Amino acid sequence: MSTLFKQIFENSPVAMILVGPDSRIELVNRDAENLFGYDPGELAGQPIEVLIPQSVRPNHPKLVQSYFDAPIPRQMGRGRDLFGTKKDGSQFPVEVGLNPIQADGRTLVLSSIIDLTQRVAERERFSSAFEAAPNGMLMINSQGTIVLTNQRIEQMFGYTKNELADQPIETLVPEEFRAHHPGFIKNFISDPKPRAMGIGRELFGQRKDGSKFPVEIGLQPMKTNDELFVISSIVDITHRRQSDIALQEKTEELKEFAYRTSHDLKTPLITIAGLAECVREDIIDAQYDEAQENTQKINAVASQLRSLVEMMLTLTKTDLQSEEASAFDFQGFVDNFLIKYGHHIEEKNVRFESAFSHSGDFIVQAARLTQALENLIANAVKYSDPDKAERFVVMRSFSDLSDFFIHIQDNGLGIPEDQHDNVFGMFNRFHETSVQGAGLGLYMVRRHVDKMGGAISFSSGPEGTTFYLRFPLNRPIATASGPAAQRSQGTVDEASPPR
Amino acid sequence: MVAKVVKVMFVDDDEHFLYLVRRVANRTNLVSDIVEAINGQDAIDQIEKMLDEDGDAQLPEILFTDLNMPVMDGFAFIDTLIERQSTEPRLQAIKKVVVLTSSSDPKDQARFEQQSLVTEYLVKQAASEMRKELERILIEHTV
Repeated sequence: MSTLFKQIFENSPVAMILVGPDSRIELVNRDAENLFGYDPGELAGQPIEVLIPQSVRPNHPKLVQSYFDAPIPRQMGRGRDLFGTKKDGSQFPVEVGLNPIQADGRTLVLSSIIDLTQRVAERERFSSAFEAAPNGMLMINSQGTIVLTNQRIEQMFGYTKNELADQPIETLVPEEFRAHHPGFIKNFISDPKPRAMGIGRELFGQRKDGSKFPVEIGLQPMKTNDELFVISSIVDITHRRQSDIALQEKTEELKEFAYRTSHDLKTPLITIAGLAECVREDIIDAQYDEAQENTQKINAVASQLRSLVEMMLTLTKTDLQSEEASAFDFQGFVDNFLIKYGHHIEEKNVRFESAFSHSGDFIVQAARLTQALENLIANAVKYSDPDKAERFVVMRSFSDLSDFFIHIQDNGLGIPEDQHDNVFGMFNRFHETSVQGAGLGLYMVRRHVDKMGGAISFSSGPEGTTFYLRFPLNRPIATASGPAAQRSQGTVDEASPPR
Repeated sequence: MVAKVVKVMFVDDDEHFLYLVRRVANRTNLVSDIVEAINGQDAIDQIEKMLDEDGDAQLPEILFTDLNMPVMDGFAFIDTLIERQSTEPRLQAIKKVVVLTSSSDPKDQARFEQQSLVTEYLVKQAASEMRKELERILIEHTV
């Protein structure tokens, strides 16, 4: 071998090893010795297998032999990840180029070795960032073929990574937009700048099962060597949509509430001012009896106004009220109710009964349930039918494995059929006798039941009204204590607690 | 003083307001009869009764109604009245309807733009203001 060749070989910045047909290292440059961690001179004469991983050593001499049988310049192990083994046993990724050379009448193989450690680390950094992104991430090439996806994409669209690899990106686009999509890709490729996709339009993705969901997509071009890729970051905005809608509804409701509130507060104020004017006139006219009557009216309207304001405050609290759930004391509720409303029940001559046949404890926000039930029962008493021979209100409870039920049944006036759609709305009054009511009671009941995760419905006719409350039980009732004893309050006269 | 006096009807579920408006109306010296109803249904019932008893002699010429009332609200009342007028010519005696409400919602007001029976939309206000409005409407009607 010429000295010149040796000098070039030795000083080349690329690690190079010259191997003979017997797999022995004939020549190795400084760079190769450094790369594999050997001292100068240590490697010459060693079999080349010392530099490759243990696992592939046995088969390697055969590979060397077959290369010598057909020696052409090529890369080693195309498509496979190759590793070199250092003197200390550690492995590192490499790329190996093979070139046959003729020297002194013999064929030798010149291998150039490139250390890929740095490149692999970069690739891994990229793919772990890709994988760790909270959004769905996917990368397509300039033909629109999917080359990389992360796990979020799999979850979002219901495909596995393998099902998506090498597929056209249109797989994930709803059918009706597929035809136009390649055009969009072309546009982006022709002027690749980071931007959001479909500004001003609603975008949808299509899952494997054909269902669609709203998405937000950011696009980012990525140039590697000569190829342009596009990275898309995809966010499933189903929940955001839903909360937008919920927020909108809430805003509408608040607007309605503010409007109605100001209206309902203004009316009695006008009346009070008007009556005060009347009193003034009455005094001038020396109509003292009339004046006295009118001051009483002012008092009555003022106290209506006060209870309306209190009701509105309660309603505001309904939304804010936070309370730990606890076992609801049904009998305790009835006892308290009778203390609070006993005189109403007596006045209307209504029989109030309760029949509790649920099993186990009902774990619920007790103050909420109390307010809801008080409202329903007090309403039932208030709108009892004076034309019926006997008036009653019955509160029943029962439960099965999945739900807890409370029914409030009366034989009162009933809700007019044309009002059935409005029952749980704001400011609805159904009877002319209810002038003093603010029309907020059932609205508040519904809000409470909503907050407790339950549902409320009713049936009503001339024979009376029944409200049905149903609460799903999240867990099976652990201890069934058997049906609670049937209790009856009898008429209020007998059962009303001492006052 | 204008000699002619007018029969009027007030429909409102607020008894105190009815008292007020009656006083105001009486003091204008422009009304002969005042009929009161506590909601739309009550008003319809009373109007039908007047027709049965003595034709159109008792019918009010001007009708003032609130909107937000239980049982039958002002909207339904006005619709019912217009409907009834198309089959009962004697009800033409009711010349105009004035909405007298505390609702200043333009949406409510807009619902009466399409028909001619409702001539005014008044928002409830202080008694002295109401008296002025009432006088104006009654005088306009009698002239």
